Order: sequence, then structure tokens, then C-alpha cells
Amino acid sequence: MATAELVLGLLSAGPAHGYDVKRGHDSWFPDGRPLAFGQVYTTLGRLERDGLVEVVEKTSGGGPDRTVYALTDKGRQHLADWLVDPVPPAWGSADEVLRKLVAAVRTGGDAAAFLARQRASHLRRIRELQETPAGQDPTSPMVRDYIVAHLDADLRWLDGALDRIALDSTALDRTAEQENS
Amino acid sequence: MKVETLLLLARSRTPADRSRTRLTVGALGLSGAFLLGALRVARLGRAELPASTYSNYLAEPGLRSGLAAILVLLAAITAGLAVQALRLGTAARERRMAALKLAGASSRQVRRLSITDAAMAGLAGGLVAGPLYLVLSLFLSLLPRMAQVLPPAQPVDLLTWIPVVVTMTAAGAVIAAVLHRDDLLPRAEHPLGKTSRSGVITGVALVLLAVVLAPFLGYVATTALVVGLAFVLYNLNRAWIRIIGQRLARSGSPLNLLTGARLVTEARPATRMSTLLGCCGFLIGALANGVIAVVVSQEEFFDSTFPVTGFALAIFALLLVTTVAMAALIVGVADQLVDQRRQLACLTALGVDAQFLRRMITRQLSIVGAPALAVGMGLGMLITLGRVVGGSIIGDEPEPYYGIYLVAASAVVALGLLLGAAGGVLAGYLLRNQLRDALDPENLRAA
Amino acid sequence: MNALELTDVEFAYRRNTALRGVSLQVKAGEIVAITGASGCGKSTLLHCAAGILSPDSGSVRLDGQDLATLSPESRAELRRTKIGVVLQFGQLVPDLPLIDNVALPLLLAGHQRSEAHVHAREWLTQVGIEDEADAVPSELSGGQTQRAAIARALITGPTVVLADEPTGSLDSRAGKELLDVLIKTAKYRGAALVMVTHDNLVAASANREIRLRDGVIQHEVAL
Ligand SMILES: Nc1ncnc2c1ncn2[C@@H]1O[C@H](COP(=O)(O)OP(=O)(O)OP(=O)(O)O)[C@@H](O)[C@H]1O
Ligand SMILES: [Mg+2]
Repeated sequence: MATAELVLGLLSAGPAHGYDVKRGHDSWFPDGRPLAFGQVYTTLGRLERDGLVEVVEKTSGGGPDRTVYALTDKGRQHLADWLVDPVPPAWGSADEVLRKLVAAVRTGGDAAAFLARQRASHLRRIRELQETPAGQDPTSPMVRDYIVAHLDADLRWLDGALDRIALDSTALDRTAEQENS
Repeated sequence: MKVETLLLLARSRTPADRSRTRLTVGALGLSGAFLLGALRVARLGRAELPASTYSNYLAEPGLRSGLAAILVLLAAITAGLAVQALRLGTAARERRMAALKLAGASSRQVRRLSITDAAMAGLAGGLVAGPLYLVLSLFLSLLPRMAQVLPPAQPVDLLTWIPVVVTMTAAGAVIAAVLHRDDLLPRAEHPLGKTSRSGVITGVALVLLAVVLAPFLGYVATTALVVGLAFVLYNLNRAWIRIIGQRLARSGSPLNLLTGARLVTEARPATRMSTLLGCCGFLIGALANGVIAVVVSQEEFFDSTFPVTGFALAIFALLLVTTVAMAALIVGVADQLVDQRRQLACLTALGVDAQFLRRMITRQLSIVGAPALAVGMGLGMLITLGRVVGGSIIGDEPEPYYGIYLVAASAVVALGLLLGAAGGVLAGYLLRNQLRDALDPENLRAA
Repeated sequence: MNALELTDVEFAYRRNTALRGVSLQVKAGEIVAITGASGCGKSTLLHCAAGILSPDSGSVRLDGQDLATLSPESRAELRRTKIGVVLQFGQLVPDLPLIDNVALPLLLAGHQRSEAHVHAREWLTQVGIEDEADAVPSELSGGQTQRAAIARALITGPTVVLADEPTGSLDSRAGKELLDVLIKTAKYRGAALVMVTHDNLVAASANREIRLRDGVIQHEVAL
């Protein structure tokens, strides 16, 4: 699960309470399942243990929701490394791709480069699957077809995402130009 | 490229191409026959001949050169029909050429193919010209003396036939070479470029020069005049056809909208067609002027068969010219229908029926044809036959310019408009089956 | 040396600019997929590479030869001998039977018809339409036409094969079979293969994906 990295991404804009992290997550994935409070705090605790986040402020009252967390340099590095890596194309990997993409866009990472690498990774996987014949048993070819069809669907979604990002960036350029002039 | 390959590829075997070849052969054959006739008349020399054996039109040198000029003009106009015929299915043929080039044919090879194709049609036309001329000459010899406007055929005609065959072959090759275009990717017919002002000026200059020089140069000047006129008309036509097309395309009625769109996208063929119609109209106007001149001059004829025959011949020539113009028109439209059957069939899906399409075609043709014909006829009447052939058609003195020509001109303009509109309706009627076929949804499958 | 090399190619149609400075190199034996949204300039790029369109600026080199410096005649010869093109839309000569259509490059090069037919028949068999040898293109399905176009592109043993949506009108199984013929032939001959495609399963067979957007390369990744 990449909840940990998502939390890092959510903190990359600046220090925040656990509650803000949850709210941020839910607004990044409006159609997704909301992040449970419990999960936020266990994740933040684990990240603090690993030195990826640190506590910068603890208000009185002492309740967990009064604690403000911030990214450490190590945490920032970890997040950057995660965003560079394409997700290994495997069954059910699409969620992870989506998580990375959203995090990359929201944190100002190079989403287009990520998508390009992800496309390559998916295409390579399709070729591997096409090059090795499926097993002789009754279900292997079906499983193979299922995976290829889903990779193809992912690729089409990636295509759309690429176009959208390119479109947004040209739109941004244009507003920048207008502001300059 | 082996000769075997050249012949395999030169001749396209689609049905559309077969009828195109047949029409070209026919037109060039007729043109060659007129040329043979002109040569036969020219062989009579410049001397006065006995009116007892020859028709008066042949016996008097002045009339004789006029007759030769008219034959040459007819040859030129029928050759114009050949140009129109060779342009049939341009879009389809350009696609074919592009396909050949994609397969690696060089421009030179493709050019050679289209020239070979047209030259073969020209050769066939030249060969057909001989028998056609013979038939024409035999037919005329059956008529009374005055109407025998071609002297009987002679064995020497066989000798003049050879250069005519060569000329027609060359004419086919030259037309093809001029029409040949060198695009690798098939494109839709582009809307025309700007009207060339220099084209109009050149044309007008040519016409004026021809009128001034006609008395000295004879039918050389006549030919120059027709060429100049074609220049002027071509350049003017493309301007107004586009303007009308654009105006219609902005209209609210779907009929006008579609008609306008067709006019704009098919400005090229429409311009060619209206130019040919304008030239035909010019000839009609000039001949009608000759008839009026004879009547008005009230010259005493010792033999009334002379003017009567003249009128009959003029009417015959008029009919011929009109037929050629109509043929060009109908053939052109039929070709467009074949070429665009896919797009037209798409209209079926929008609920367009054959009746609607027919009205559209009729309107399109009338809009293009009627003004062209009317203007041509008016010009012919105003310039006068005498000035076209470079001699007085009655007597030896320079012919006066009668005021009634102006009245007659407005009459023929009205007649031209009427004829053009009627031509559109007639074409719509004659093409009703093609129109129905063009709307057949089956065509949606065609490439 | 690169089998195909485009440098800063720009091309504009009358109303719109289709390519705004595209550079790419393809080595012999390499398979490149060109992808991108509809209308982004893929076909235009392919046409420039094939010498069908001449770029407004930039250069196209085939086996090190700059196409712009060649006469139209030598360009045509190049198209006949070194380039095999499969276009997106009909490119067969409408009135010629399939066998002559496929044999066409050989006929144009001056081969005997009978000899050219022997080769053409072999290729028709390769792409699985030997039974249609005497049919004219209008009697064929879209997929059969495309097979014939591929047979014709391969018959001269080109060093660069350029294919625009080579499997566009085929179902996935038939597309796969035909793609295998194309790829196997290209690999066997050591030819460079450039395919324009919308189909991810086709793009997956390439060594490299080049993605166009609005006439520029959006990204280029090795596969
Ligand atoms: N003959 C033409 N005349 C004018 N514009 C053209 C012409 N052909 C293509 N275009 C334009 O150039 C651009 C690029 O076209 P191109 O055919 O290269 O796209 P494509 O990427 O191959 O698209 P598709 O995937 O739909 O085949 C498009 O915007 C198109 O409208
Ligand atoms: Mg395309």
C-alpha cells in the first residue's frame, strides 16, 4: 500500500495536522474511499519512526489531533524516488498508478515523464506476455487475455491522462503569457 | 518499364474510363473530320469557280474562306469537347496516378502513361475521322447543288488524312500533357485560386487583335479570337461562380445551401464547362448575326436558294454546336455524379431524395450555364460574323454595322438565359437514372 | 548509420501546421511505434519520411541520402527499391487485379510480368489472400485490401518499411497475424520498421515508442 507515500505527498506542501492530512487525501480522491483517522495516525507514527516526518509543533491538550507534522529531507527524497518509479504492471496495479499520478500532479512533480515511463512499462509487459506462449491448461490463456486487456485499458487511460496534462500545461502557459503581457 | 507494362497500365479499365475514352475518340474523330473538310475546301485554291458545278458557298473565294474558317472553328470546338472528355473523372484518375506513384512509379513514368493513353485515343480519333469525313461528304453530295458545301472526296484526301491522324494523335498527347498534374497525394479538387487579371487582359488583347487582323489573316485570326475569348471567359467565370457559390452557401434554404457548396467545391469543372458553353454561345451568336446581316442588307439575290441554304447550314451548325455544348454539360455532370456517389449517398441518410438532388443539379447547371451561354451569344452578335471571319459575308464592300444588332443582342441574351435554364432542366431529366443510382446507399461502400 | 533520419522536420498544410520540428533516428532492424491522438500529425510524419510530402524545412535522410537533394526520378526509384509504404487509406490501383497490384513495383522496375507474378503470388500467400489474386480492390474487404498493401510494400525487399495503421481494419487476431508477418519480415531482412498506430497491442511490439502531440514529439521511450 502506498498510503505512506501519499501522506508524504500531502505533507509536501507544508506542515499539517493529521486531520488536514485526512481532509487533503479525501479531496485528492473525491470518488475514492475516505481515509480512516486511525490509519492516518498509525501511518504518521510509522513515518516518524522511520525518520521521514517529524513533529514540529505540539499544542497543549496533548491529543493526537493537536500535533503538527512536517516532511524531513529524507522524507522528501523518499517521495521523489517513489514518484520516479513506474509501477510494475501487475494485476491490480492501476490503483497504485492513479495514486502516483495524483500525487505527482498535486506536488508539482513531472507527471508527464512519469506517465511516459509508465506507458513504456505497460507496453513492455504486454510484449513479454505476447512473446511467451500461455500455458496449456484451460484457464491460463484466459488469465493472460484478462491481464493484457486490462493493461490495454490502463494504457488507454494513461493516454487520456497524458493528453489532459499536456492540455493543462498549455493552458497554464497561456495564462502565464497573458499575465506577462 | 516494359512496353507490355506501359500498355497494361496506360489503359484504365474501369467502366467510367471506357466511356471517357469513347467520348474522346468520338470528339477527336469529329474534329478530324471537320479538319479534313477544311483542308478539302482549302485545296480549291483562291480562284473563282464555276457556280454551275459548285455550290455558291464554294464558288466565291470570299465565302469559301469563310466556310473553311467555320469548319476550323467547329474542329476547335469539338476538340474542346475532347478536352472536357479527357478531364472526366479527374479526381478518380488522380487517385489512380497517386496509387501508381506510391508503388514507386516516377513522375516521368506516370506522365508517359497518361500521354500514351490520350495519344492512343487521339490515334483512334484520327482513324475514325477518315470514314466520318467520307460519310459527311457523301451525305452532302446527295443534297441539292447549293447545299453541297463540301466538294466531293478525292483519293488525295487519303494523303491529307495522314497528317490529320498525326495531328489528332498529337492533339491527344498534347492535351494530356497539359492536363497532367503532378501531385503525389490525392487531393480534393481545390477551390480555384484568384482570378488572374493578366489572363483577362491577355484574352481581351487577343480578341481585339484578332478582330483587327481578321481581314488579313483569315481563320488564323478566327482561331486566335476564340482562344482569346476562352481566356477571358475562363478567368471571369471562375470569379463569379465562386461569388455566387459563396452567396448561395450562406443561404438558409437547404437546396441553395447544398447547391452553393457544390459550386464552391466544384468550381474547376464548373468553370471549364461554362467556358465551353460561352464559346459555343459565341459561335451561335455570330451565326445568328450572319443570318440577320443577310436579311437586313436586303441584297438582291438572283437565286433565293442561296440565302435559304445559308440559313439551313447555319441552323445545322447551331444544332451541332448546341449538341456539343449540351453533351459537354451532361457528360460533366454524369461524371461528377459517379465521382461523388459516396458523398451523395451520404445525403440519403439525411433524407435527401432523388427529386431534391435533381432540383439541386438543375439549379447548379442553370446557374452556371445560363449566364455563360447568354454572354457568349450576346458577344457573338455584337462582334458580328463578318468581323469574326475577317470578310464581308455579303458582297465585297466592308459590311456596315446595323443598329438592329443591339436589339438582337438583347434578344439572344434572353434566349441564352432561357436555353441555359432549359438545358439544366433537360440535363436533370436525362440524368434522372444516374441521380437515382448516385443516391443508392450501396455507394457508401465504394471507395 | 541510421536507416532513417529526420531532422527538425516542419510541415504545414494550407490551413494548418501539422509538424513543428520533429527529429527522429531509426536504425536498421529497429521497430518504432508512432502514437498520439487523432490529428496530431502521425500520417504527415510518415508521408514526409516516405518522400511523399516534402518538408517545408528540416531534412529527411534515408540510408544517409538527403531526399531533398535527389531528383524526383531518383526519389521515385528510392520509393520503389528502398522504401515500403503501407498507407492508412486505399492505395491500390483501383482497376488492376490484386496480383498486378502487388507486382506493380517489380513491373515498374522493368521486370517481366510472368516473373513479377511469381513473386507476387508468394507474397499474397504470405499475407493469406492467395485466393483473391484475380479480384480487383473494390471486390475486397478492408482487411484484405490492407493485406495486399502490405504484400506490395514488402515485395521489393525495402530497407525501411513505413506503415500507417497497418492493422487498422482487422480484428485483433487477424491484426496480430499480419503484424507478425510484418515484424518477422522486417527482422529477417534487418529492415527498419516504423508503424503509426492507435493500437497499444501493436505499439507493444516495437522497440521504441514515439508519441506525437500537436506536431511535436511529446515523449520518446525505449520499450
Ligand atoms: N490534405 C490535408 N490538407 C489540409 N490539412 C490536412 C491534410 N491532411 C491532414 N491535415 C491536417 O493536418 C493535421 C495532421 O494530420 P495527420 O493526417 O497527419 O493526422 P494523424 O495523426 O495521422 O491522424 P489520424 O490518427 O486521425 O490518422 C490534422 O490537423 C489534419 O487536419
Ligand atoms: Mg493518420
